[in-house]
Amino acid sequence: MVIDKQGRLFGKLSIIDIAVLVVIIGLLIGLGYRRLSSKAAVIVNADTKFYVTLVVERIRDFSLEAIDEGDIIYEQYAQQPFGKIVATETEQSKEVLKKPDGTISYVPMEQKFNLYATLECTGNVGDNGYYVNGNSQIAIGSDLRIQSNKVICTARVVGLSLSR
Amino acid sequence: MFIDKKYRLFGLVSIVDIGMAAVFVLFVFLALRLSAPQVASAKPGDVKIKYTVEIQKKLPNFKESIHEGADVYDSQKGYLIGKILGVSTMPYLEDVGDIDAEIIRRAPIPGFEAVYVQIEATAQITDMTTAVGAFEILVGKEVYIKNKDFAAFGYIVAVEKE
Repeated sequence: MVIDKQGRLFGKLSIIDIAVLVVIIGLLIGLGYRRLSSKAAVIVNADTKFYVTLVVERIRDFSLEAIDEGDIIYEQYAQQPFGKIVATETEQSKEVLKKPDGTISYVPMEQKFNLYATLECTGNVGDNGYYVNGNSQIAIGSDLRIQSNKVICTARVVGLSLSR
Repeated sequence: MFIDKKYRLFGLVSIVDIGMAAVFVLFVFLALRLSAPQVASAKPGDVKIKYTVEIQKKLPNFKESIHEGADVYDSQKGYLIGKILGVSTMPYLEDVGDIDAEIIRRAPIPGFEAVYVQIEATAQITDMTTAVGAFEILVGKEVYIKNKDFAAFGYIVAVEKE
């Protein structure tokens, strides 16, 4: 019989021991996979300069003051820089205001700002798109969690070009 | 023979039991190696910083629980993240539509305050981050802070080097 009265497979090895072995092997494979795949692939010849325009919306003055030209920007959790801020522009944020008569206005928001930051990046540009840090694709509309050594925020890509 | 018919090494200990023991030792080693320090100890190049945490929408008596000179910790991991230098308050503001003026105003809400806790710490500053041990100090970061007298959620709104 496949499993005998003492719970041993073909009378040889306990099925509990087999189950434990499977768990141990699975854990070791998982650890090994994490260890070996922890570094992002680097594309050789990823040295094309391009410009990314990001917008950070509805931030208050304390965040605005922490973002400057020359700051090195990283994507959160990335080990390599994303780019360097070469230009910034600020405008007052706007929001939809619904009125009792059913009409809508798009009105300014006190103490809230949109910041447009142009970053100089180095990566790979081809038919498939713009890439930084190996295989991280950047496209208009992408939402990114970015940080410098002063600030962290969420930004959206609104522009991509090979020239400033 | 090394392994007998019952899969025991030298007839004494089951190889599965040996495997389990080895995995256990490995986990203990990894836990000690990878776990973050509870206290951020000063390392070469550490910089003294002051940072401010804004805690929104609190009743006026909340600030009385925050004491100057007290240590403060990250609620989620238990790291020591600095010492409280001071506490101040401002009226708590919310966005409110002003239909006549066609603008969204920041209006004070009666009975509530925004509490600002200034904290001093020793941090490492790199290109990527400013951190007290494993706790990042960045403007805009959400933080959960506590000590024995209070606990709160807030945002870091200012960081300056001393």
